[in-house]
Amino acid sequence: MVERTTHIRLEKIDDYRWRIPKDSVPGMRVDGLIIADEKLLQDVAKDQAVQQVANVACLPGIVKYSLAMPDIHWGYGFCIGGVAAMDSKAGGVISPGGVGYDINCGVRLVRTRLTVDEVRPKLKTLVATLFNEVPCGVGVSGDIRVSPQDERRVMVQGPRWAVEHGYGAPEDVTHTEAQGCLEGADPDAVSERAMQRGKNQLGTLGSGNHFLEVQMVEEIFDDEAARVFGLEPGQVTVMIHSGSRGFGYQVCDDSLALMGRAMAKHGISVPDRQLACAPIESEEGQAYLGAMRCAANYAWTNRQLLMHLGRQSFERVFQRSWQELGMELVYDVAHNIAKFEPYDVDGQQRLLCIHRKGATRAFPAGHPELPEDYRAVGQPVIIPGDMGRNSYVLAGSDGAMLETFGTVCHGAGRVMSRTQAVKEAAGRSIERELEETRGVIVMGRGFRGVAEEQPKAYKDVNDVVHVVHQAGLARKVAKLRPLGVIKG
Amino acid sequence: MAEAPYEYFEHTADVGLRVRGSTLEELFANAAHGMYGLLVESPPRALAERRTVTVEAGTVAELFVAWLKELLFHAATDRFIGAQFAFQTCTEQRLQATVAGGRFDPARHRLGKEIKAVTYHALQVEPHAGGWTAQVIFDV
Repeated sequence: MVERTTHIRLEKIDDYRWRIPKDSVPGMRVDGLIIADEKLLQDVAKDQAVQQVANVACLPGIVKYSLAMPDIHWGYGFCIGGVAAMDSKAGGVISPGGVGYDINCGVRLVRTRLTVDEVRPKLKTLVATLFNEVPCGVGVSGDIRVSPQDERRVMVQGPRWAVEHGYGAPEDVTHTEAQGCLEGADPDAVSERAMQRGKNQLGTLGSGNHFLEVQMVEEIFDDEAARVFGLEPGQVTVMIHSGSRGFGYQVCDDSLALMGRAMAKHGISVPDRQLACAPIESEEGQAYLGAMRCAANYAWTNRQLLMHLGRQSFERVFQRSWQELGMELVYDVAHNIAKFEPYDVDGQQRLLCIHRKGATRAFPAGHPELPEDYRAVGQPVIIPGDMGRNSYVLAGSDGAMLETFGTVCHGAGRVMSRTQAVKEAAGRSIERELEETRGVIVMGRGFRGVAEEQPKAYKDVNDVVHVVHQAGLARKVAKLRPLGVIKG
Repeated sequence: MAEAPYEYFEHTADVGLRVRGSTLEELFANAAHGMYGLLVESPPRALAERRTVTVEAGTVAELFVAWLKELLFHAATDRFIGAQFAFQTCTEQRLQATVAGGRFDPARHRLGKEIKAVTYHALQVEPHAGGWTAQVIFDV
């Protein structure tokens, strides 16, 4: 351990809500609020995440409270699972640490018309084909080449560019959060280094916890929403988890350095260097927003291209077009992002800058930002779990709008360090165990990679989702189970 | 030195690196080897390329991070992995080195994991009686 566990007192509000009072740490401007149950809190207490929630409450212009979702764990500056709303009119800041290095890391879910019985006999071929077709792992380039002019279009337009170039259909764009395009992207705010790190990485998965997974729908909880999302028991789905690759990492790194130097100028001091920030309206704040939006649009394009490669692999294995296979995008969500959204705060409508760091937007039924076909049931919220247990599709509820700035959790959250996970796996083959005990075919590129990502290294996503559902923030629609996984 | 020049340590979702060196040059070289060890299982054998790396910073800790960031940039953009380091300048504020190494081939070499960033979290670079020690955490 690098640091000692902190002992900040948590006040229980109810079974799923815990308050960090404003007087817990000097400098807190608002309370902290953690959404969790007692079981999940036991893991939270092991690291610095609670301290990080309190640190974020010190940032200028923060509204209502510094929030954390039930998959909360330690991060850089902000905890993972952290949410903060800033008001630019109240001197609010933007913090690259509130978005993370992997800008617009996110998840998309693709449905198919295939059933598990049709896929099972070809599963090994399918996973091997995906593993060959979808570039993954350190230093692996994509096959999709993009001219310098098109690089700028990707940054400004997002997946609309990809669709115009034959990598998908217009419905893919409408079923992507923000239509895959944040306005105000400014390619001139992106450094040459970021451009270089992003080159040849479009349509690549990456490594670490990124994956492409073939899954089946195991259980439906909400028939109406499932029907609207096109999901039914036994159906095969594909989930893709990736982000903005080296491009986003470098944008974040550049901005942290820039803001670190600018803080004194703006009279801001923060308790942790990784919380470097600048007023939203400042030159540095605007430069970060311009570059961050480019990275967000790049990430949506990347997932669009990964989906295209996934569709091609299915076409090859099942000898039918992806349209015939019914491989339509259910939805794509970002879980590392900052966006401006209007909220009612104490009866006043305010435009707030919502930082979501390992947290997912979850808009309820009727929200004008949702595609028309989903407007009656709410936004599909896609929550990946580990490669052995489950993933979920939820639907946004009014509770999230009232309480958590339209936000819920983003995944299971790690409980075991990578080295510990490798130690636990010593002398074992996690791939073989997953195949023999759970029927999951796993192919990974990196040495130790699969051991580090084994199911035991994560919280049980079922516990995390249970809290979100019980707290009334989003409701369970479908539970998915992995069949085959490829990893970098 | 009896002790290993570097070791990895646990840090929730990420990886920490602890490094020793009897001189500042040795510390910087060992840190580079440690970082490369996360990216690929072993460095390319042929030292086919030489690159000059220059970094400057206000403090030795910032210089340490700047050095690793620079090498990470070369690895991330050109797959360049250094194996030997010759330092022309190595003070606490400025470093210039010639790095000899080669490019890794994802099809041939056993790959480790992508490093997203070299962070400032819990960063330490300290002199002591026998030389220098440092610790740094990588976002992976």
